[in-house]
Amino acid sequence: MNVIIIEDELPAIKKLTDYLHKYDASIKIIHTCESIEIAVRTLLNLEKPVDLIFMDIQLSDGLSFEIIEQVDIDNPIIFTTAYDEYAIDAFKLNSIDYILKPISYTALSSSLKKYKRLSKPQTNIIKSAFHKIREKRYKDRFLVKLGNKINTIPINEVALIYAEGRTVYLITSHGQKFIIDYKIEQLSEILDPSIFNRINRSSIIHIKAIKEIIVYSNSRLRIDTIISIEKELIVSREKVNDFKTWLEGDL
Amino acid sequence: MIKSIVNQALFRILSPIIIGLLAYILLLLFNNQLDQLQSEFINLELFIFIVLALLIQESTRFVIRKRTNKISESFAAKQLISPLATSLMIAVTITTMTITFYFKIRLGYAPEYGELIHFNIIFLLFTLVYFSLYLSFFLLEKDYSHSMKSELCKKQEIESDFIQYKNGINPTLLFECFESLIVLTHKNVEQADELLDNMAQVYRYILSPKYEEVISLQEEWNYVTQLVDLFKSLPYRKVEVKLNVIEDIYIVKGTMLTIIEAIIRSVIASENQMTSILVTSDNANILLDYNAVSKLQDQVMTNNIDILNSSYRVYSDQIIMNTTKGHMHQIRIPILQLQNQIL
Repeated sequence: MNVIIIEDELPAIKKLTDYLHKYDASIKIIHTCESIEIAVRTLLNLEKPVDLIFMDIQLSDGLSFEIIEQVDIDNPIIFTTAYDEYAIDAFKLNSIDYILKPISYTALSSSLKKYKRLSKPQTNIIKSAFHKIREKRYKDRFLVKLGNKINTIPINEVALIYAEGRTVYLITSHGQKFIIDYKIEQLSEILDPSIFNRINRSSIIHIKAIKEIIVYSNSRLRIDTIISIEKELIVSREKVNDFKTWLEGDL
Repeated sequence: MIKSIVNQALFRILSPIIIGLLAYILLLLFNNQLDQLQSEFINLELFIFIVLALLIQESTRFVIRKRTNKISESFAAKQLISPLATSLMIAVTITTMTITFYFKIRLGYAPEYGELIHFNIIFLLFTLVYFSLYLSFFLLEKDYSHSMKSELCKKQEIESDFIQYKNGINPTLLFECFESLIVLTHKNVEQADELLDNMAQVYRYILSPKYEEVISLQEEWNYVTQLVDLFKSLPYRKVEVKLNVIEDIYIVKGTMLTIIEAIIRSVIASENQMTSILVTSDNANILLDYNAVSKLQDQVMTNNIDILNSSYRVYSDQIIMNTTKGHMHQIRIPILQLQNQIL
């Protein structure tokens, strides 16, 4: 079996080669390509027939989808990826074969067992999966306790999130208050920065929750919200510029 | 918090005596009767002045404590008009009533209008002094307590972030893995490679951004088996885990990994002793049963359960419980009750 490995990390190439030979000593690695450019050139000038391609999703010069766009590939492809579960979902959903990095021998052998059943890669399906990978993922809802059950709060109903000591509270646009199991630090990574802004160390506000912005002492800003809250919301001095830029829609 | 000087008993007792005395001397100056000090210094009039000073001091203090609580950080002079006016009015009322009462009882006639004005001017001046003094200390105290509260909150937030960061990194496990890796690279490269893969998978799961708060037990179990494989490669760790749950049940993300690791770390590691953990469920809980000898002094389990319980309190009325009978241990993790199908 002739195999091409498209991968930009040398240890990963070595590991994959070792596992392939361990699985079947007759497997020949006819090419290893470390970039999109080399891969395109190699695939366009193939001298030997290829049975299987291992393709890393994220190469040093871009997403490997560009290779599929430039070259018409008839051979089965097994993608390798170090992306998170969200990206994996895109692959699972579209029945695209993939192996999660770090590649384990078990995962590789199970993929190899079914490789003959793999069909010709369908550009449209792969395109939609790659499109999802490109999109940055943001949290879309929160789980909160309502009575003795857990319910969801859609992200567009969240007006404010703030921390008081170890506890983090979520205030909805209807004024309901819930405790959530997150730290402000974690939330600033997973909330959409176009609609949420961390105005100080302990508060994150939704753009639609802002009613009025008042100039406050010490070069700070005070925010009045559409809902009544006990807490005074102050944009800290070091965040004022970012906050103004965010309001203008440049973040 | 330290009580400010104006609120201390000694100040509140001594201050009216001094103010009363000053007011008395001022009045004598007004009436050009300063020589009276030489003939009769301590008399009933001085006592009345001290009582008046005490009443005005306490009423001003009371007004400030009651009326200025709502003064926000955006301090505005207009916010002071009402408490100041109240304090002055009370002072005028107390002075007029006390002096009138004293004149009528002691001297048998009502005070003249001009005399009343003198008394009121003197005590209004002292009211203003009291008001400024109490207000300054009150605002200072308020600002101080606000700053202290906010600093305490920040401290708790930072501590909480640090604990979470430490739990994510799990330095004990990380260094144990590295140490095993050093040994294995010289003995068995394939095993070292496998260890590295397991480690990468487990850490990827632990450190990935927490988009979901809860996860299905089955999904987390994949990582539990990898964690157990990691432990198996460490010296004297003989562990086996078995999942006997088929229902689709949900837990807080990371619960099983934390509990299984805590179990492994809280029992005495022995080459001859296998730690077998059986995971089952009843209607309300996931049950982890294991038979092992616990370490004599170990807080790992308690600390980890405490951290997990802070998450479980957000979603459930129940918390994780740990019970022990001899060498038999059982950990009960509440099953999260989700509203309809929200996942």
